[in-house]
Amino acid sequence: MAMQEPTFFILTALAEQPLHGYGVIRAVTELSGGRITLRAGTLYAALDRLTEEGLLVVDREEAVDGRLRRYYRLTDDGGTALSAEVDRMRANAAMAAARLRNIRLAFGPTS
Amino acid sequence: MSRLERGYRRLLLAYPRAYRRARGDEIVTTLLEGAPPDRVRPPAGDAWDLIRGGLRQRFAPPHGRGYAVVALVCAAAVAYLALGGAIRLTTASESSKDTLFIAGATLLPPEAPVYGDQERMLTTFGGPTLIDLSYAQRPRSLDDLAVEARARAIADGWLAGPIEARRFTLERDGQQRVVTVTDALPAEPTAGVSVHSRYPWPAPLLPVGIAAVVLGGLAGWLAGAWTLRRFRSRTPAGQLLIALTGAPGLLLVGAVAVSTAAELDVSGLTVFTGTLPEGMGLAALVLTPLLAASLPADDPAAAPRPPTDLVRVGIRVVTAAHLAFAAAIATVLVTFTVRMLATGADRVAMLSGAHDPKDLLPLPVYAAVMVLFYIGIVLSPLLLLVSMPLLGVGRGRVSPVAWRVLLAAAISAVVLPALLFTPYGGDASVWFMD
Repeated sequence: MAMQEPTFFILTALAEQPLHGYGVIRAVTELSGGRITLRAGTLYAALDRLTEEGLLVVDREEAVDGRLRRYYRLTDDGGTALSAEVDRMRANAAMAAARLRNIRLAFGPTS
Repeated sequence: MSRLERGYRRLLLAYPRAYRRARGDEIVTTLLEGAPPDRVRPPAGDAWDLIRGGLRQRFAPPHGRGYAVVALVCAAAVAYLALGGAIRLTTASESSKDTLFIAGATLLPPEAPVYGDQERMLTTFGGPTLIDLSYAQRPRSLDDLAVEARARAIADGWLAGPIEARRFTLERDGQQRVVTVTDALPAEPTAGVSVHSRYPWPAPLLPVGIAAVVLGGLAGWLAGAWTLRRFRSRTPAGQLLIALTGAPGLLLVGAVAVSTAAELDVSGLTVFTGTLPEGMGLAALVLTPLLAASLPADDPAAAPRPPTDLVRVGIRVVTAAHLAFAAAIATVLVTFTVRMLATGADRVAMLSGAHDPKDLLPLPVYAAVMVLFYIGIVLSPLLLLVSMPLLGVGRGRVSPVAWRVLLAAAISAVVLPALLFTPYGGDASVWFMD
């Protein structure tokens, strides 16, 4: 089953290093080239679900004057799920590229 | 606390208290870190997002695996039961069909042979009962017959309106009737007079019914979502128990609802008549959330379990269900045969009522077998739609013994219900159902 795009970017954001909530939002915006801006309610629904599925765990907490930052980390299962998704996307992309090449060979301008 | 933080904390009230306590500070921190320095109040986009997230935490079924579909089915089932309740409530004081027929017949000369039928106007709420008097052979003109019928109604204590185009209204005790005198319709008997009454739903049913469907649907959705959220955190054995209670409940109510809908175009409409399947379905539906509430939670912190293999769990659940139904059907066939052999009675004698199956089995066992038997006949063939793919997928993923047991269970789900369609099996089930 294909992963939803926000999920994909959240896992990608956490693949490099543990991040807290706002860190994830910023990283996802950056990784998606500004296309996806997560809002807090959506982000935490996704974090809850991914934690429950065992793809994420809480890495550590930082409490500074009434603020609470909780850092999330990818689990081994999370890494596996993300690389499976990467393989799937790569296979799809390669397949599409191959077909496009075939079309160009058949109908494209002769060089 | 800044004004912005107060605003965000107010929005977090959309979330359940326990969730707020666990995650509130963290979410507010994230929101404040993402806010530009000149922001003084939460933007509408954040507000909507938080309210939606909170409502989802409170009321939505769990994510994935078709939970939402199950919750929708729960909503539909409870809405249907609530509508049935509303119909029973509003039609309880309604005069019976026989009364209507007699009321129509009193308008006619006593010596005339009378045929009649009554039907519910399915889309009409409140308003008069329409009575058509159709004359096949008439000694006098229709106008004269209308005058006579009206006079008879007045003598019977009705307040009658003037006749217009062989039609007049009658009123008594808040009841209204519109009587029309016509020629016989081609399809009707060629002798005598026929009375055709069409009566509306009681006027209160429209608001009460709509409220029942809306509130029932909402309650069903909430109860279904709540049960599913609990379901997800129970142990596998608990989940099996909840599923085996809830699924037949939904199926039974669903089957009755479908058969009711199929009868809608025929005049004899029955919604929630309190029949056995409906009662059993209702009982199972009530029992399911109670089970979900009382069964112990599966504590994931206690021991890290390997991720559950859906195929293995599915095979276990389906095998257990198949075997339970097979055991019930086999019990019926075996008790019938044993009783027949032991007493030397033939099949006709067995059905005479002299050999009560309730004498053979203790009542709780009899009831349990009967419930499983009933559900099994409906569910066994449907369950094959699950067990056949599982047989294909599960080969090699579960132990050979488990696979063969499922195979045997699936075969029993074909053979045993099929046996019930033989004359012998039919007699056995008639005997057992008594």
